[in-house]
Amino acid sequence: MRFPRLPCPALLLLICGVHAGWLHAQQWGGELRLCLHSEPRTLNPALVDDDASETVRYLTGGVLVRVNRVTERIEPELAVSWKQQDAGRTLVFRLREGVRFSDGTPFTAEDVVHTIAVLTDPNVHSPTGDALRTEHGAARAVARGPFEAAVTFPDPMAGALRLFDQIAMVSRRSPLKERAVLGPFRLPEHRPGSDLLLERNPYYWKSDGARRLPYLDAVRLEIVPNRELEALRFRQGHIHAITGVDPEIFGQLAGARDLGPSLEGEQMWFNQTGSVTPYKRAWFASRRFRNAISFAIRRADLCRIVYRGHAAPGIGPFPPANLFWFNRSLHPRDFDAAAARRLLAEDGFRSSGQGLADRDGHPVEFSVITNAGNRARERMAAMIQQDLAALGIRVTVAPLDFASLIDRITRTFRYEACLLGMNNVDLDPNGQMNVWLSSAANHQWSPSQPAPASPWEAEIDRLMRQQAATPDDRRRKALFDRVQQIVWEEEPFLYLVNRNALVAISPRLRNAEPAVLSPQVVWNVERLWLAPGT
Amino acid sequence: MPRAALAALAAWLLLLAAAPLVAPHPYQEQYRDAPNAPASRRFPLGTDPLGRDRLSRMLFGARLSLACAPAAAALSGFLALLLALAGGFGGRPAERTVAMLADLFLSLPWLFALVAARAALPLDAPPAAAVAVTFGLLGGLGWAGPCRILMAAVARHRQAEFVLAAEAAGCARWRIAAVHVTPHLWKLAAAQFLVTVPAFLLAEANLGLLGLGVPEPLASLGGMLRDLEDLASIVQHPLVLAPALLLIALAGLFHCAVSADESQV
Amino acid sequence: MTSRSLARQVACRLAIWAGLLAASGLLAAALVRLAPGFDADDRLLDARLAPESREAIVRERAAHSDVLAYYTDYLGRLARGDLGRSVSLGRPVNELLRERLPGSVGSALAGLGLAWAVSLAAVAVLEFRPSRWLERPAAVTAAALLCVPAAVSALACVHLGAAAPTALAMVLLPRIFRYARNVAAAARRAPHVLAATGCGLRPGRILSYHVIAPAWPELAALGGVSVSMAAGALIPVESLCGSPGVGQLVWQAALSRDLPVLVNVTLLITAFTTGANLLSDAARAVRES
Repeated sequence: MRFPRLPCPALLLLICGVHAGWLHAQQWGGELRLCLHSEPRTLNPALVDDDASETVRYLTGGVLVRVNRVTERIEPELAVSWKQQDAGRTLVFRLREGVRFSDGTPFTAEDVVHTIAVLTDPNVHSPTGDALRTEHGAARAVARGPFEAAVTFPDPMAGALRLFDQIAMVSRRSPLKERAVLGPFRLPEHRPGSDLLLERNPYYWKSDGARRLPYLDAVRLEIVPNRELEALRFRQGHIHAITGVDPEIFGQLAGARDLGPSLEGEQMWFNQTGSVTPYKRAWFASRRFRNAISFAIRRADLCRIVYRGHAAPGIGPFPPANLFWFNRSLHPRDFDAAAARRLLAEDGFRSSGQGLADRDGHPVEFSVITNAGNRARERMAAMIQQDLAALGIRVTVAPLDFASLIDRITRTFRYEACLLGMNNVDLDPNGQMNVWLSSAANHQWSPSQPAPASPWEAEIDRLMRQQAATPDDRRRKALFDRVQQIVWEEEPFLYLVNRNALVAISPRLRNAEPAVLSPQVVWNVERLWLAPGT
Repeated sequence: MPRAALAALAAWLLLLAAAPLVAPHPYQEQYRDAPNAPASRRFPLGTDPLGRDRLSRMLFGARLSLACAPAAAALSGFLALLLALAGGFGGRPAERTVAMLADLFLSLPWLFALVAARAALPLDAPPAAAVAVTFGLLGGLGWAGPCRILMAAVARHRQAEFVLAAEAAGCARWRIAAVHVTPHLWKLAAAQFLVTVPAFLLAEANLGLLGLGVPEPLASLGGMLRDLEDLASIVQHPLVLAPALLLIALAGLFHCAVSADESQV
Repeated sequence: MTSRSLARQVACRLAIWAGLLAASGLLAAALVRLAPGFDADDRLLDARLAPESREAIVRERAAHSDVLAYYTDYLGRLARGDLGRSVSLGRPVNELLRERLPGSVGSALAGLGLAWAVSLAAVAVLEFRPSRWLERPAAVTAAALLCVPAAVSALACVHLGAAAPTALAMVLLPRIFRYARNVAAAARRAPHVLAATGCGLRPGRILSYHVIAPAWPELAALGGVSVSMAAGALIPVESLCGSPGVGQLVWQAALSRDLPVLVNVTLLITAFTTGANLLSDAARAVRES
């Protein structure tokens, strides 16, 4: 019997490989094209304070530790290991050896010391620098050897390690100063107004076997403020990914993906400062009033109609996407007209012929400001207007241009209610200290209070200070869970929706694992590659 | 033909004036079970993204826009004519002053004056007040361009023989300006009006981007035209074009009625 | 007119022009300062900032609060060629303008040229072939184009692969056509045109010598005004066509109340507008003399 002749094993492997995708190995080279929505305000990593600059910093900067955008855990990057000393005041980093900046200058502990010194310079005012400061002074770094750096904080700072995800190392000795970088790309060319071209960093320390990463030769960031134009360029294949796709065009973009709840949400709050008419201030200061308004808003409709289902009802300051810190016992307030009416009745509000009135006969009406030009917010305001009209409350929607809006909510306080979205960049509650401390300027409903105006605000102050001073993460979580519980009960912010993260990725872009944390698509840029094609 | 155009225009304007009686639904009511609905018996032109009946919003919006924009255009036209005549008949210094003022008005960023006016209004001002302020300011600020063109025409007509004859007969300057020269400016003024009405209508929509437009829940034609900016969705929801088509139809009828005799020699 | 009196006249005009420019800059600064939001900065919404940083940002904003002081200082620096520094972009204004101005001027000139060419051609056709079957569609097309928002024209051009000048031309064309058509129609009603037609003159000659030529002052004035129309239309067109020009810069500066950029751009626009109007006035004066 003759056995059939088997094909040559190599040929067999080839066939299997083609089917198994083995031959679709990473392609080296190519230029990734993305859009920025505004011109970066600065290219100096120490001064970054806007989204576009932050994207450039992410792509070019090298950091000591990296928060993995998918697992939200801290991973070693330029620091191979670290330890805490001195009751949480000092972080000692053991640095990776043999790393060089993009112009060949070696990276040592002296550069870490220099970077921290630049950030904590009193003339430098940036969020990254301010995060290294407390009331008692700024962090200081010393080199304990060529590859060991110790950073000491004046007070034990809980969650200090994750700050280093935002601190891009700057060279002390390089003649290029802050333009010498440690990230996968470097910045040689900037055509202002049009685009930024980032080129491969020839000295990047990560490698894929024998060759240095990144796979891509370059990243071109086009400055396109208009979302319509960005979507058009994506459809035409000129750009390879979009972050923050508009829910209205989501269905029309091939390659669009809904990643689930993001960290971003929209919320409404009432002005509780002295600038409001006294009888209205009394309404806004009442928990029952705020809860009633919250019960009367149909959050499900907001998610379904304004966001086309790509959002979930808002719950609290941290959405479920914040895996560690979100308080899982909390749920969104469902629409409940009966509960709203009951709460209002308990507070002395009565229905009259013309609508709802308080116990002194003032008709219940207020204005809501929001930023004009943001269609989602304008629509949500219109829907809330109708929802509250059902209770007899007359709401005036007043969209304002952004500068006027900020003027009113930070300086003059001439407004009654505001609808705005807050972007959480930081997973850690310490990033929101200035929102929850009653004495702080971002305590939006009543900022910079000399003393807490209510017992629950005093309680939140106490809890936030306590969690900031506690090194143990589980104890901190228990404390912050209690803060979230109080916020859910008192509702100084009415959390309306928690938006989903919507991205669009071209089929040519491979290895993309889009995550909910920013930068959503390019967080693993050194491992992204482009398949050949048009 | 011009009579037909005028008749059609009059019919439309009557329909719009009767919007509260004719509209099938309240313009502000959101039917949340049917956002972006296609045309149906319940909603003849479908609904907008918030589920509001498009036909009702179009009727009320057109009523508001076509009441306010022509009024603002008339105001700017009147100011332009007045200043052009003052400049034309006031001598060289007056002419230069008016020209300079017009140039200044054309160059300054009046946007900020509009924003300041909005800030001066209380936040809970009735929508009518916000609309009146917006269109009033548009009318009060929009005279500069037309004025320049009218001034050139006035300067030309001032040299005409009949004006010289009237001056020689002892006619007062204001009378010459009002009775003898103004009728010759009618065509230019008409052109200016035709151009300015849609411009103000669209300007109101653009001002909406700065919070100066017509506030919710009022409908305005300009505001509905802003929805056209999402060009890709026009393919999915072609009824978004309805307000634009209405405006084009009305503007076209108006242009036809006014430019009737140009074809006659 | 002697050369001395001519020189005196020119010097007088230049002085008035310089005064106008200075006044426009000051008024622009005053308008921007008066508008709410001047002292506000969106960086203040960032909860990570320390109180000292917030104060530094507020101080930075307050540095331009006194309009007169700012403007006097600005004029002094302008004499040395320093146009100031943009608050929102952090770069010198003369650098920004140097990068963006050529593109914008090119787009504006191309758009204006296209709009004028098509308008005049349309008016000429309607004059040569007066017929209601041409007049009505022209009127309706002009009306339709007037009703299309500039943003939509710009986006449509982008979708069709056309550049910013085409979008600009689409915005300017109906306005220029409407005015030009009415100017020509008004001129045509003059008795001498009827007489010329009765004498059997060719339509071309009637059009050029007896219709357009007398209406030249109005057309020249329209030309001057169309420059400022183009400047205004550049803002939405550039923003939506994604071309990095002065229009886009102005929009961003207006939203962030960037005083240095706005004052400089106002001076530029005033210079262009008054320059264009000066030219048209001069052309009219030459025609009349």
